[in-house]
Amino acid sequence: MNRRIILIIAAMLSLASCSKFVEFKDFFIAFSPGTSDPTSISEAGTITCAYYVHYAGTLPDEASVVTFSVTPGDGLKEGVDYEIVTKGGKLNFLPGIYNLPIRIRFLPHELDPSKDNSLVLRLEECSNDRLTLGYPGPAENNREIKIIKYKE
Amino acid sequence: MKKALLFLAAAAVLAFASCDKTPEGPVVAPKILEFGFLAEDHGFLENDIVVSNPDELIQITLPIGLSSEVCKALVPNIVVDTVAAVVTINGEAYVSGQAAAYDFSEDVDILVSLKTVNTLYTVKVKAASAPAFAMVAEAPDSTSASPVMAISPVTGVPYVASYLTSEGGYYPIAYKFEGGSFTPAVGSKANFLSHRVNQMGISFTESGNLYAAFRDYKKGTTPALARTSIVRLDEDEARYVGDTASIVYPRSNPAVFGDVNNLFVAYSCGAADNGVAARALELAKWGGAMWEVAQSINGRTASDYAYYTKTVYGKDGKSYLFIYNQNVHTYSLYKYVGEGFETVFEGLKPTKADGTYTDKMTNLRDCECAVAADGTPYVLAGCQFVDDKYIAGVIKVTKTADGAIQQTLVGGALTDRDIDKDYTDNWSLDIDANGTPFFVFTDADDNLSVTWIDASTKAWAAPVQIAAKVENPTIAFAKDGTAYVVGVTAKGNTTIPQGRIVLFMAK
Repeated sequence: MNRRIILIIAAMLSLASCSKFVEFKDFFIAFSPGTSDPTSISEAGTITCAYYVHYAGTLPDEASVVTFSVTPGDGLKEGVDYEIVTKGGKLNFLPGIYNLPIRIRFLPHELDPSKDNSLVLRLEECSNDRLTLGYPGPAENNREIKIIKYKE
Repeated sequence: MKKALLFLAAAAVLAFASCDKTPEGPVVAPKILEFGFLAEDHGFLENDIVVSNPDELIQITLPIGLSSEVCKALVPNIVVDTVAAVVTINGEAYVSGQAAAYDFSEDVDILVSLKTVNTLYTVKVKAASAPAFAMVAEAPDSTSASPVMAISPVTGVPYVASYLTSEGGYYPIAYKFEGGSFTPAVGSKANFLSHRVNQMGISFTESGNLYAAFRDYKKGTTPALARTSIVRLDEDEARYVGDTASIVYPRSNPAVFGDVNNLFVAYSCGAADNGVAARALELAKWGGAMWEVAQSINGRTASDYAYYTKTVYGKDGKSYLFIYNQNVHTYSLYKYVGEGFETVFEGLKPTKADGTYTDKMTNLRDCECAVAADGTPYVLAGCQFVDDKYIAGVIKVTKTADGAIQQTLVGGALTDRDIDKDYTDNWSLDIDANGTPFFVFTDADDNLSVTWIDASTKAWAAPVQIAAKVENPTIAFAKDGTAYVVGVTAKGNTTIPQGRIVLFMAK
């Protein structure tokens, strides 16, 4: 009898521990590498690349504004190695808009291969707190995208 | 009590009447119906550039010869599907008809908004660069005739055809260019029939079926037994359309129009037959049971000689029949309209550069026609445009408001191209998607070259050599803008034996 009770209690405790669910927000906004331009750019060329940010969700009633940052490694300098074409640091996902680009124009400039020649685009904040930035989950996949300028 | 009931009834009626019985439906996302740049807003454009029902990525290539600087100030013309929709370009409000210029040297975002719903388009514009042709295929057979080419309107795949030399029994051959090389168009062998033919043309119908029409010696190799035959080149087999015995033999490469049980074949009649004079246009119709010869085209002088009968694939998606009327030295163009043909122009007499016309100023040796996306025909002709030499010229044919024909010699006469020196079959013309005429030719040294109308100078660009010792070319543009030139290797070609079909391509 006592053994039976202990087994029942143990089963109830294990069931209770399985019911810890991580709650995700409904929709998310993340980079879409598959539809974006390459993330490996030669030092030699002049090229404007578009890195698309995708809104995954149903048609909303109002716009969601996402701020983004552009952070160069110590080997790159804005105005010398690249220019940010998409001004204002914001993407405005109006209702009906599901993809918006962040455009970066890469400029020809010789690189120092010993330095960090990367450029990281990151989604920072969203005006709609129902939206997750990056794919849902602790890893926040595709919340940022890293572009490398390489030496020829 | 009675008053209370009346009051309640009246209140109920009022409440019911105030109900909105037709709830507002969901707002449909607004769309751009047309996006483009109009010639009236841009002096360097000969024709309007319009993309209808565009995808959210709109890609436009400007005509060849323009500097990329022109992209910095372009006036867009935008037509949306809803009057109430608001259009902004890179955040600025767009007003239709305002003729404001925008910088299209970088991607431009166009937002179309209707109440709470939005659609975003991205426009990419670039200036075209000069075509770079490279040889992409060579056929293994030795041929005895100029190759003919037709591009499938459905798949965009080019097909070429000819017939073998006497050692090959003059068998007809056909290839398609697929997977980076020539493969047999029918079955596993290039020769789709095993008997003698000549005078062959191939034609795609608008639905994508390929037909070959030729002088057929199936019943015997003597001229008296030759007839015109039409076969449909299916992937597995060449299938005869009707019997070969009922249609008199052709003097020109026949052209085929229509499809299946509404098929037309047009050619120069070999001998007087059924009321059609020798050399006149024989137009026969297949309705499913038999070929009905001696069909007429309203407006055409039946007795005129149909020296060339060519299928023209217009960039407007329509098929046309182009004829050189040898006896009167004029040109005619007819549009295929399903139940027959309607005349685009009849008996066109080319004029000299000074606008005058003299009889016999056209040369029968070579001529072609191309039709642009807006339906404007261009005629390549060897004429005495300047002096007594028969030189090349491309005539743009338009009509005034009252229907009178107008001719414009595009880019001026090509005075270096003398048909008596360049010889027959060594010229070809087509129009690209922007309406730019391209002219390929083989010169007296059998070198193949290409030129086009430069959009900035409005003159012929300096010719670019495609290959040495290749002759009898034909140029054609596929719908995706790829240009193909087919020719045959000439005597003296150091890399490929004479008489081999070769294909060049430029993207």
